[in-house]
Amino acid sequence: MLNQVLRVRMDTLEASSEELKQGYQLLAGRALSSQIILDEVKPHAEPLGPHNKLVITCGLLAGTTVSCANRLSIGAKSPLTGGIKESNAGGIAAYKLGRLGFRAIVVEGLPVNPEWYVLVVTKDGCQFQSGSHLAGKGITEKATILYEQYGEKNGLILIGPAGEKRLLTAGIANNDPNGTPSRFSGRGGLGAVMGSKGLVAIVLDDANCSLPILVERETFQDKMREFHQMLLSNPQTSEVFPQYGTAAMMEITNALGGLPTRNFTDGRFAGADKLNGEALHRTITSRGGEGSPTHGCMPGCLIRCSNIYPDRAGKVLVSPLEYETICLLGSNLEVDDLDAIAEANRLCNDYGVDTIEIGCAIGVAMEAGVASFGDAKELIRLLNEVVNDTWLGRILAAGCVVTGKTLGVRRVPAVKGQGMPGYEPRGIKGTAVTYATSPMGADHTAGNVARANVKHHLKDGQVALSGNAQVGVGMLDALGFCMMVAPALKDRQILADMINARYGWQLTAQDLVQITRQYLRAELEFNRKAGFTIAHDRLPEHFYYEVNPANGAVFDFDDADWQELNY
Amino acid sequence: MIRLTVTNKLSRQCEPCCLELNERITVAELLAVLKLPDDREGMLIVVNGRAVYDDECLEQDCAVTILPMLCGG
Repeated sequence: MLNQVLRVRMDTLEASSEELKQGYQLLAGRALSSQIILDEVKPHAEPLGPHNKLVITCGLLAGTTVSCANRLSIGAKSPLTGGIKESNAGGIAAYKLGRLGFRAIVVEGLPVNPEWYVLVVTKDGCQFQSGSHLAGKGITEKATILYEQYGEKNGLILIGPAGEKRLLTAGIANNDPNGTPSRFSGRGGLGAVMGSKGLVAIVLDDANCSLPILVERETFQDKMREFHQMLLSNPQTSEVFPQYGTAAMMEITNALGGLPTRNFTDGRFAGADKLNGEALHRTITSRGGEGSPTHGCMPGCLIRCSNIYPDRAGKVLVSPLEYETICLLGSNLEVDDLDAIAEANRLCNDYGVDTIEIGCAIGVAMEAGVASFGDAKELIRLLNEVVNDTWLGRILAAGCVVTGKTLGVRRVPAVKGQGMPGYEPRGIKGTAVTYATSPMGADHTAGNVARANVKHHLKDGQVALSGNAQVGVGMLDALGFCMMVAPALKDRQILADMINARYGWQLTAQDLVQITRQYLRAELEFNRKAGFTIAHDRLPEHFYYEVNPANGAVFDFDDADWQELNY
Repeated sequence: MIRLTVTNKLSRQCEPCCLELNERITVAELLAVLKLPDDREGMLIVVNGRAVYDDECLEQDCAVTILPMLCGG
């Protein structure tokens, strides 16, 4: 049963397995990482210091082939925001964790000697091995070496040079079913936390692990089939996402005036037609070769919203190319060249940085005049500054807030230190309410309301929408589900039913809501103890008085509006 | 009368069509004419690249696109 925690001490290089603590049995994913952080990490701990912990978790259905149920969740106190952080990704690592029986890996302490380590986890135990031969190498090369050393079927959790250098934009990658190490827990600088612990990679070897125990096997299979049928019968999850991927969002956000453009000064981009889902699909299919417009990032995924983007010769350039990246490295910089964005994405992935945060930082740098908006060659030049570790590159890789302060730019699109993702806050106000109020900082995955059928540029009802979205997506995060299932999910009870059949529990959908509300409150409590107040629940001032030209709106909320939010 | 070019992207099976309708037809009235699936929550109506809402009027020839609402990227 999936009830073990692997506790890894980097100061003594010891690892031991323990049962989930009393009170943790129903927690997984973001709920578990956040609860462990609240319970075990001092709120004033230095994010890169010995008292922070890196908590890696999987969902309650990890290790099974339920579609979209194998997200890997990683949490810590964030060096970027200074608050609690969770960032999740697809890939195969959570599936492997589930097969190994670990619901969490908790990495503690700092190594006594400044050396790099690889943690190898197998059915029979764990070993620390030297990782010094991996240091300084890009993520792709690291993965290749790890496959040669330990086998090609393993799950990998690893950092790039950015994580080793403890840069604030550093993310943590894991590998997809094709072996590509490009599924990123990108946000919040969590790669820097892993780097601070001297851990360059974790290898998850599930060889000889038995099949997951299912308490009510037949019911589980029935409920899984029912859930899969929901995904296959919904047009968004069965047609739109598999065909166009997440880039299909761009036509929507552009129409709403909510597409970040020119360092978030506009919400509509004239070049969006060259970047949207149809353009991406056309480019990939016309080139053929190794490219594919649809690709599953997790074992058994039926939605397959990922893709493989080929170069002009049909060779893989990057996989995937996603909406957020196309926004932040594209429209936000007024770059309308998918090849340039894909190359920029490849550079980010290999160095191990968050494309959202880097895109925000480059937007700020372009506003400072470091390069021109719309210049794709300059985009690549700036990313090479990052990869080559120049001083300018270091500034960019410290995120948009540091970039803004260093270069004297007042328009910095960030909340709680974290750059905004691909939803312009005056164009899609409910999502911006999430940016302002979520303990995660500016993070669309904490509660995106773009799908709601409301006038997104108006204030009415947006706080309630955000609150519901924060709980709704928070539940998926807590269970290890991908948020892409949401349009097909007419009834949350199906999630509880699958979990109940696996564990022999009797949870209701309402129980799942309660668990979610409880951990969201835990996250807020951690941030409050870390020094966050309502003054941190604001957007940068210019969004309150500068109009979004696409829809004439400003962000017109004040602190009192948040009273309506109640987790 | 105004001329509308309607592209329905709710499903791959839908072909673009042209309609001639009275000026000042509302978006809600247009949707009734189009007889779309009964899932107003699941679609966004876009006119000449800009999102419009049920109470808005269409006053001149335009390109209408019906997009499925998605949960994010």
